[in-house]
Amino acid sequence: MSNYILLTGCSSSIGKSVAKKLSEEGFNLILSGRREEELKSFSQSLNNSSTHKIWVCDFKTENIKESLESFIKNQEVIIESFIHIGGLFTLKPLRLFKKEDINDIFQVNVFSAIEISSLLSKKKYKSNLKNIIFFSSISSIRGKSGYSVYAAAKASLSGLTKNLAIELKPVKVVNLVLGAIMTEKTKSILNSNYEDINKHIPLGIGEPEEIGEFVSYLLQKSNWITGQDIIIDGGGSAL
Amino acid sequence: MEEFLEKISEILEVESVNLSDNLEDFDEWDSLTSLSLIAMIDSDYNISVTNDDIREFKTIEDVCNFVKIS
Repeated sequence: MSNYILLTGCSSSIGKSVAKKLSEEGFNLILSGRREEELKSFSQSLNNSSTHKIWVCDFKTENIKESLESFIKNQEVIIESFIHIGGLFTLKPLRLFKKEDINDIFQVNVFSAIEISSLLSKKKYKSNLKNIIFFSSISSIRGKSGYSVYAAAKASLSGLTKNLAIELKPVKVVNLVLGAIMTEKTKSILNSNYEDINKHIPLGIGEPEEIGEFVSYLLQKSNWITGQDIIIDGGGSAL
Repeated sequence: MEEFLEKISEILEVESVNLSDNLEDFDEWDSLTSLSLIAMIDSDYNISVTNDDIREFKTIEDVCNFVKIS
């Protein structure tokens, strides 16, 4: 049995970038997302593609814990780190949110994080677990119109981080709070007002590649950071 | 087309919209509503709209023509 990093949200720009960086550094990855074909072809584009595995799970509709537990058993993998990049972003005024929209946003951003962490904190898995990294958003600490429900969901990850760092110690739990990064998902919003957004961020709008570097540091070099929100936003929140 | 108009009505918080309606005449037409329109057109129709495009839109028909579903 080999050690693996479980990476959710591998169809996203940031997920792909982190996966690419970690595979270059020789880690074995479990790539997770909803679309099997897309994950397979992405996996083939990575270094050591034959060692990576694919866990297909729709966080909105499936029983996440059951699905992951049977995957771990069938594939005989040891999960050493859980990196939760998977997320669902909807920008609209609060008045337009229906119950299903709210449920979906919390299910994909937060409940999935809780369910996977819950499974991995069972005795038989926890002894191998070293890192949990959540992905939050700067909107959870800086208000903006249209982001309320997404921000509320992302803000929950901060509380989860602080408490799991205590409950699951010595597992390191870190919450990366990301600012404006140009991705497939955010480009329509960012490009709609590029100059204005860019000029309000000291180091400008970020690229997904920034994140992989830092995740790699957390996994390989960091031994004394846990229970923290780490803001990576090009200085945007310093203003 | 009907579905698209329904989505626009929802964003503008009105019962229905007509092609000839001016965007500026809607009480709810503001920067957040225009951002919602951008997000909706991107996620549901996979078309990128910029703020400059939005500024060019005068009527509901202009929006439909841009999304090419008139």
